[in-house]
Amino acid sequence: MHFSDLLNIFQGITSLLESSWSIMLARIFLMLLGMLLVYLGKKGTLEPLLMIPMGLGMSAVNAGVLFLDPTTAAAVNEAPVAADAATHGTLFMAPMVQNTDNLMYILQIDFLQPIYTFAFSNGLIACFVFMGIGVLLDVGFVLARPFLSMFLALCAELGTVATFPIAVAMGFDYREAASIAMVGCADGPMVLFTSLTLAKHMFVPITVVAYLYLGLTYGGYPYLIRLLIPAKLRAIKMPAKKSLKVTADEKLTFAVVACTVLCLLFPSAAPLFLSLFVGVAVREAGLSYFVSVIDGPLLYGATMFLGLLLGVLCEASVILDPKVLVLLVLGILALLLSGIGGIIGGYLAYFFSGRKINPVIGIAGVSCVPSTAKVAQKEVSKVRPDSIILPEALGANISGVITSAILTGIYVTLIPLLK
Amino acid sequence: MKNVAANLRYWASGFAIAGLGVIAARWIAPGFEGTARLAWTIGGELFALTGLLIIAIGVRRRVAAASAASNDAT
Repeated sequence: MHFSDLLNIFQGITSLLESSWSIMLARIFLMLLGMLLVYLGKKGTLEPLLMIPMGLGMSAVNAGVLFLDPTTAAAVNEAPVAADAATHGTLFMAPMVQNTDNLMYILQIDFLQPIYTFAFSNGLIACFVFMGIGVLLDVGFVLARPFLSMFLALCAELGTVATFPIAVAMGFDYREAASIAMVGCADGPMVLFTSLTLAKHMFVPITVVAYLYLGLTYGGYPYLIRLLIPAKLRAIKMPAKKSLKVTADEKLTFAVVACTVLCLLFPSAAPLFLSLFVGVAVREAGLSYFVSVIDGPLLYGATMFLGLLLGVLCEASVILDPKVLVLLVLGILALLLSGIGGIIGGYLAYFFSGRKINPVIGIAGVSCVPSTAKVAQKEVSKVRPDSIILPEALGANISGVITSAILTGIYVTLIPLLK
Repeated sequence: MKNVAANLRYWASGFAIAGLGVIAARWIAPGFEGTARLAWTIGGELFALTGLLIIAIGVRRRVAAASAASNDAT
């Protein structure tokens, strides 16, 4: 027995030392980044439901690299491998495998491969999360104030629209640019759906960047509000209004009509529309058993596996793509522009209403439900505790989800037509 | 469904306008090429979304009228 045989017992370390400098440093960086994400998730700075499984997955996949046996290596690489070749790989999943025979082999070896192949890469997990969002939404807030809600939501899509030409100017093709621009809509499932449809080769970095930044909106948007809206305007008390009761029948009928019309218009995004509105329909029809399944095991199970899979997809070789650095910049630009667009919408609403509407509600048009509505109310309460803007903010927030879904449909339908 | 039935003209007109928009975007537009196709597609989509907005406006009016009526009653 030689010393090198002993080293093969600790293949995670041996494979790390045998890698190139760039891969070795990237793996170490990602292991540490994963630990940091877990810490920030626990602390509440980032969304813990996603960051804790993502962080742990990221650390584990970059630590658990081993030397694959020739048969597995051949299936992963989709090419014959010499018997004495030392191919690095993991037993988590092989996302690039396409050939059916190789995929069937890998499905029996890698423990997360079935979930990746049958639930992640086809957008099913994104649709489950969207069903959960639909069950949590009350579209009555939109129907009670349609003009204000839709207007603010449209303004808050500034990042989603403006980032597209910027990304094209920076060298991305139309499909990649549209996928990156969708980060501005601040809705994880839609970013995942769009990037899987339009730019599958980049969906990992785009989605990871999107979810990281979405977790930061709760922390970052308050500073944007304080920077752009003076305290005097933040303290505006909205005119008192009797609560407007939209009945469950109206909400259910609206869900059915809107789902049908939007699916007819944008069939490529029909899975998203169906997922969202089936959640709404189940809620408004009073199907309490379905509601408890969807907003419990389905939503939280999908969220957990989404985080875990995203973390496991963050292998060093994926992250070392130079385009990732540009994505980091474009992602934050998209979210920043969306926040600014929402605040501009808030100001316009303030002026057109005769200075009655609090401009802070504009930020709630960014569709991170219900984070941005809560951020808006929190910032207003700090300067004037008796000012309640939550109903109007929620209307804009929910409109933001619907508007973002429509924009997803537009991008997914129209971008392939552009040459 | 009595609130929907009571507000039928908004629901019907909104659905009809949305339907016309869908026809323009999905049936008429593919018959053209280039800018004309894009114009019919975008125009049809906007028309369809306007139909949904009309339904929302109808619900808003019904709710506001019911709220005003209950204010008068008290």
